[in-house]
Amino acid sequence: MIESLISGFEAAFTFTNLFFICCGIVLGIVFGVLPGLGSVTAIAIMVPITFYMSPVAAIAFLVGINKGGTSGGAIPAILINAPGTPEAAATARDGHPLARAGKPEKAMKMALYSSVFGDIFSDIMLILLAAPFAAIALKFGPPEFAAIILFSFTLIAALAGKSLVKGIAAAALGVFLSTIGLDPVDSTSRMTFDKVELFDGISLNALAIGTLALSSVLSQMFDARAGGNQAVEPVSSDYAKDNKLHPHEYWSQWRTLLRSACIGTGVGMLPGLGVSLAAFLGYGAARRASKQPEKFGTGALEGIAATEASNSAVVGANLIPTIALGIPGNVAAALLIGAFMIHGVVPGPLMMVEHAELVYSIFACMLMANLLHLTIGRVGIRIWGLFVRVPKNIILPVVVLFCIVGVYIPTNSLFDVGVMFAFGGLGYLMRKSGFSIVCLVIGFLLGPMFEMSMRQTMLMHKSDLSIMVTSPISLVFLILTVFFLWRFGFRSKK
Amino acid sequence: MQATNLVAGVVLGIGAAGALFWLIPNYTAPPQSPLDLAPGFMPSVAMWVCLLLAALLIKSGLPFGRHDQVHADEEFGDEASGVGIATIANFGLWVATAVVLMLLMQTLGFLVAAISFLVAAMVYMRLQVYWLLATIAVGIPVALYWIIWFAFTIELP
Repeated sequence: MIESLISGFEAAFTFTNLFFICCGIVLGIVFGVLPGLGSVTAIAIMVPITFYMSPVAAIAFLVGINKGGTSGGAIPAILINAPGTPEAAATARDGHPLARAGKPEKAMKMALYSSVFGDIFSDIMLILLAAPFAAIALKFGPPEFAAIILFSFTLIAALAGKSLVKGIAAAALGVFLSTIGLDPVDSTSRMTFDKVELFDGISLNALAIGTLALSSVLSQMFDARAGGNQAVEPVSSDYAKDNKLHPHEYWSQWRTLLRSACIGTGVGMLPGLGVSLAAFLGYGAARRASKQPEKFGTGALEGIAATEASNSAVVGANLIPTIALGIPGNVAAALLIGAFMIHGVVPGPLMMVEHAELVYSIFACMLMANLLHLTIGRVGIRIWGLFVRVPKNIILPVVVLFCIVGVYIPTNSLFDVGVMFAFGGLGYLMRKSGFSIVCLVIGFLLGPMFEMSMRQTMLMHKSDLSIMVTSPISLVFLILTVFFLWRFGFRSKK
Repeated sequence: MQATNLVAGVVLGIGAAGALFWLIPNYTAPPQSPLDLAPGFMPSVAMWVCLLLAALLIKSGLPFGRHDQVHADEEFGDEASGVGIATIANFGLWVATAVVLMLLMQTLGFLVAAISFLVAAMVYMRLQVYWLLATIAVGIPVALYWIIWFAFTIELP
């Protein structure tokens, strides 16, 4: 493996590859910074452009976008409480209070360093585990996937914190919304009212941007008008001193970083669970393990470290099922599969054999991308820090425009813009009434996978669901589900 | 928050009941195979869960119910202040704005809609430097329009 990696470095370490990695990271950060865009939009737009690049440069470029976009989403979350990406919503919980306390750069530095830590950790895991994972994951079938997703739903209950009822209600609403569109098995229409725009279901982009970014902007606009939301005051006499992140402040979080990186890698390895789930699991785990959980949500560095390390750790780990099995871990990985296929490479178990040099060159590019990400991100912090000096009565209305453009670009559909407006309004009401938006989005993401797995299980086992308890992997996750339900239910009552 | 829970429970309950007894039966097909789940199964399960939880919310919102006042701000902090008259008025304002914005984009295009929206929003947020307001309201939509066109060859509506 070491020899393969060294030869991968030899093939990957060219000026062209480094240039495209840098371009990808900058592009990813810019798309991540703009609420409503994000790395998925950037990758979707850029995949056709990679046709003109070599396979290594193309994948490195797209991976750079993915890495930059994941950490870039934290910047508007910290500065204006409008997460650029769904997973950055958790970062906003502690990042924005810190920015409001006059330490936006400190929050962004913590986010960047944690993000790079998570990236490096997951890339190493990817290199070590890609081949062995293929052998294990081949044993997963629909019952196992159904059990894993059911387990994930119970973890959503944990995300809802003490407001269990509202959290589960939001998740159930998300599952319901995900069922709108054509039936995944027999293609009959479900609640589409014969509107062609709904045949593919509600756009995730529109729902996520509407509920997470637009609703936050609306809430801030209304609060600012009412005078209840104080403007950010970043410039103080101690601004430079306040915004310095001391090495001991960072390294004192090593347990949180390691735990979150492990969570992010674990979530990334399981197809479909996604970055948002990792971010909130990392955050939740850090809060539960913390000696001062009450500080979470008030600007705790631990909260930022936990979220960013876990969501960035998904990026590399996502490629484990993508490369080993040809199963995309999330939307970004699905787009990467498209890029692989453009270059005549079919992801799957044989890829490690037939294109070993390419695979290890990509691994080498990913490791180099982390160092470039750290450099570019660190240099850019000063520039992103300028965002907070723009008055809210200018930046918030402009962000609404970015949301509109972000939803319109991928599909060229005004219908999706209308859907985003509707979810912006719904998100605003949910914020005010304490319903978890994150639970809604995660319910929406996991709903179709859960349904598909259940229906495949029913068809494959002639409606006999006892397979769910006779399969050892499925049984383990079901036991974990019951355990977590009991634990969270008990904690909630307590 | 007690009143908010009551109202939220009622709205959620009505919505879930409407979906269960009208929307799902009328707008989903029966199962195509005896072994398969009905297409309406998963949305129905989700809505039954919502209906059950709506009942719990209504119960917690009643004067003799168990209150979750301290639980409400887990995710949003001070933002989860409850739904009052001001929130409903703001929501109504947003609905009206969204409808006008959509109509403008469909009829007059992105530029006119975006410029109108920016002017209205910045005036609403009490930006009183009029030269700055005019520059941003015109400059940013025009810049966005051309950047999107030149970078991605996508023409905004």
